[in-house]
Amino acid sequence: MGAHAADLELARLCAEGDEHAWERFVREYRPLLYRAADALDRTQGARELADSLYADLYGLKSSAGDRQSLFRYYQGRSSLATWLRAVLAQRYVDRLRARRNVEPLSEQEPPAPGDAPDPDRARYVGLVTRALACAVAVLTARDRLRLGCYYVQELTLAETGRIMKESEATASRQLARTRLAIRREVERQLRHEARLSDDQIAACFASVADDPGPLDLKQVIYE
Amino acid sequence: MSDVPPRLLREALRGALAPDPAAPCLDAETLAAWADGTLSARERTAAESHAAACARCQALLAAMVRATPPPAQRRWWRSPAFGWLVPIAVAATAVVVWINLPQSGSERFAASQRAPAAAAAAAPTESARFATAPPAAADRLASKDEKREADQSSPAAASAPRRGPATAGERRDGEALPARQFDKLAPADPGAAAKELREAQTPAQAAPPPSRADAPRADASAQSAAAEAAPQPDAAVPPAAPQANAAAPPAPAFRPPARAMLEAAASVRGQALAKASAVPLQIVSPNPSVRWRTVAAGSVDRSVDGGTTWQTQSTGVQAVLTSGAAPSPAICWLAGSAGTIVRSIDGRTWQRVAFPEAVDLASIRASDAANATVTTADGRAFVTSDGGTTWRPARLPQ
Repeated sequence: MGAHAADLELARLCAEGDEHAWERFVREYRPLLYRAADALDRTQGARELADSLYADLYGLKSSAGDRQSLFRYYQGRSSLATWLRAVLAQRYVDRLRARRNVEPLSEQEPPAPGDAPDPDRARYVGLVTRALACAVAVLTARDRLRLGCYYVQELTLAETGRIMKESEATASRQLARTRLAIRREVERQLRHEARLSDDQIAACFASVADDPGPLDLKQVIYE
Repeated sequence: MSDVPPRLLREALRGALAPDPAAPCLDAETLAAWADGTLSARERTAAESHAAACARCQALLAAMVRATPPPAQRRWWRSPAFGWLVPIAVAATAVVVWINLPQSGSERFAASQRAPAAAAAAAPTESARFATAPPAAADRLASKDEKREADQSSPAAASAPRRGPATAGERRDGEALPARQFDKLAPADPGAAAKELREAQTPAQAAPPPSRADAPRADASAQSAAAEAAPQPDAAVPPAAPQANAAAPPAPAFRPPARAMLEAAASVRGQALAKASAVPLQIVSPNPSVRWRTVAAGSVDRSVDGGTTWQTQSTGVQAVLTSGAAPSPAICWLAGSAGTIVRSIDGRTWQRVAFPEAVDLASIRASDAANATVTTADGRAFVTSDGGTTWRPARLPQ
């Protein structure tokens, strides 16, 4: 907190409508916010979010006459720059998710008429999905978070490591360990719970690995 | 579905819901604190548990990390991992220095007083003593402090007889050290030795030597070992100092850090020299049939049939010998660590040649039994034209 006292003071002055403080804020933080917006969306589509953020930071006068600025939520637990990036990231993700909700579902292509359906495929996918869910469920929250960051959010190893506060090498090593644990647990589930033979397990893996079909890793991880 | 036990699904679902579904999503403040690393351990665990099962919060984290420029690459030596090297290096240095610390003045004094009988029985000349004493005893003999005392009691430092062999228990710590570490610290100049001791002596050490009970722990343990080995029971109360000790106050247990560091570095260098000595050095005389080779610290082999057969000779020193010169089949000079030089003028026996500094010697050249030039490890050259009685600095050839 003490380390960010200057940032807190600037935020307080800006929230109170101090013009000099606001000028200083714009001069120092506008480029930073634009850079963050451009990093989120290379097409500069997030710049409008940054501009709208300025309006909220500047504050609007309420009906009672007092100014309501977004700065009042800044508590100084981080630097002002990081907090601004967090607010921008929040708005960006929420906008993205809102857009996805209204996007029409793409029409699924019907299966090719020549393909002979594998009679066991539906069963295999179901078994693997459940075994996978069990394997992921027994992981620690930290392992699941790392898995989600890397495979679902498609972050790089370095970015994953930054979230997990670990080095890129450690993130890679931990991911490999988690993959191995999942593989073993899925095998164990299929062998002991679903009573599949080794050949059936191999066929199951081959069937699902080639085409996971309805198996949604995101769903497995988040549910 | 029917072939999967319902319990499996229940457990899977319960496991998925473990991270407290009621926990709210990460707000900007928490997200920023996470990014800046200012969350407490508990807050961080809670945030990780929530984010592990929350797609939105994971997306937030991903967006956050993408929006944040990567930290500047630190130099490898500034990484936190290397931060541990500093205390580790300091601790290792301290251990090396502690190992190399000499005994306290009282113990050394007691040791010197226990020795006179053995000293009287010892050989009258140094060469003879070296020739008769076993290597381990010679090792213990050549302590720095005894050399200092001998140096101060007699101007002819190199040829003066030492106080005599100490008993086995008196140099318990010295036995673990290479003898060259003792040899190298023997100053050739008595005045310089006295000055060095005066400068290093602290007021507390200027007082009478402490009793055994007051001695430091390491010294006490060494003394107890000495008491077990030595028959004299009066070591706890040192008798009156002889003339040599009156002139030279006991060496201090504490040495200035800079000097201690230099000695630690010298110790490391000595180990390197010892490794180098593992490779035999062969000195061939003008008559190729006669040659010497160094085989171990303190001894050399001589061959008179071109290296077919070898006869071991004792040089009387324990230092690592790293170079040599044989200007004739009967004359050979050997030089090594800590200013050690030995010479043979009959091809069979060896005499130690005094050298003014306890520095490692890199090379030696000789034209006969009287004229030789040595080069020190730090690049200086010294010349003698009287068989090593006197040395004078020489200019190295460019």
